Amino acid sequence: MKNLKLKAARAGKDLSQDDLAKAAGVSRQTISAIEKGDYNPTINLCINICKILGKTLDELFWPEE
Amino acid sequence: MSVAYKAGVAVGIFVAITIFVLLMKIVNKDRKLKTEYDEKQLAVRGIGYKYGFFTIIFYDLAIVVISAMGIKIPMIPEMVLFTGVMLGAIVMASYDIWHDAYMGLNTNAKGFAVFAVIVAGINLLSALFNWKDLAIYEEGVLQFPFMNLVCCFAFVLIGIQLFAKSIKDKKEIEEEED
Repeated sequence: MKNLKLKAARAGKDLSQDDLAKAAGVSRQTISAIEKGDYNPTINLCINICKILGKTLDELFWPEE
Repeated sequence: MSVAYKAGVAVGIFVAITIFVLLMKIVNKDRKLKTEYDEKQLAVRGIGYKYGFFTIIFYDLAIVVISAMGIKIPMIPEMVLFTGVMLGAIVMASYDIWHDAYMGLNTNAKGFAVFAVIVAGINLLSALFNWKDLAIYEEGVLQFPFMNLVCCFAFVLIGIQLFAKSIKDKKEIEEEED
């Protein structure tokens, strides 16, 4: 399932996938895979991404009902 | 085997390791010997290692079956073993390349390209010199210098795949920006 909330939050901060990847200490392809729903990140990486984007885990990673 | 030959092999291995360490430091942006990977890359590399391992297992089984059937393999035993190892390494590298886990976070892509060209070039030159002396293929059996051709082939194959993947990645970034 695609993570459109993450993509929107990243775009909202005017960050490219590469910018977010560098800030989070992962590869651009890993961010791309998370946004596409091809990879489930660990909780540590989720928290790291949330901190960078100024969002909560619920806002970015909790699936909508 | 003479003492001089053994000493030559030992010095050769030492020089090869030293060159490898120096090149690895050039390949990594932070000049560290260790390549860093993120959590997804580590998971992918684990699967890559698995496929590489199974490749070697199936290759070894095939060699056992072929030998049991009485078919002579046209390679010296060292080459039979080395070819299996290289096959496993190629499978692992290919899987990692197409799943974004070959290049580490601190890998300098251009540095790696130079590294690959140097290694492939050295092996190709070595193979060509041996070919001139007919040392690669003797009495219907591939000799140890054939290892250089296998190494060269492996690095060329990895280089081609990395180039193709970089083109695919560029297209993906352009689509992302649109």
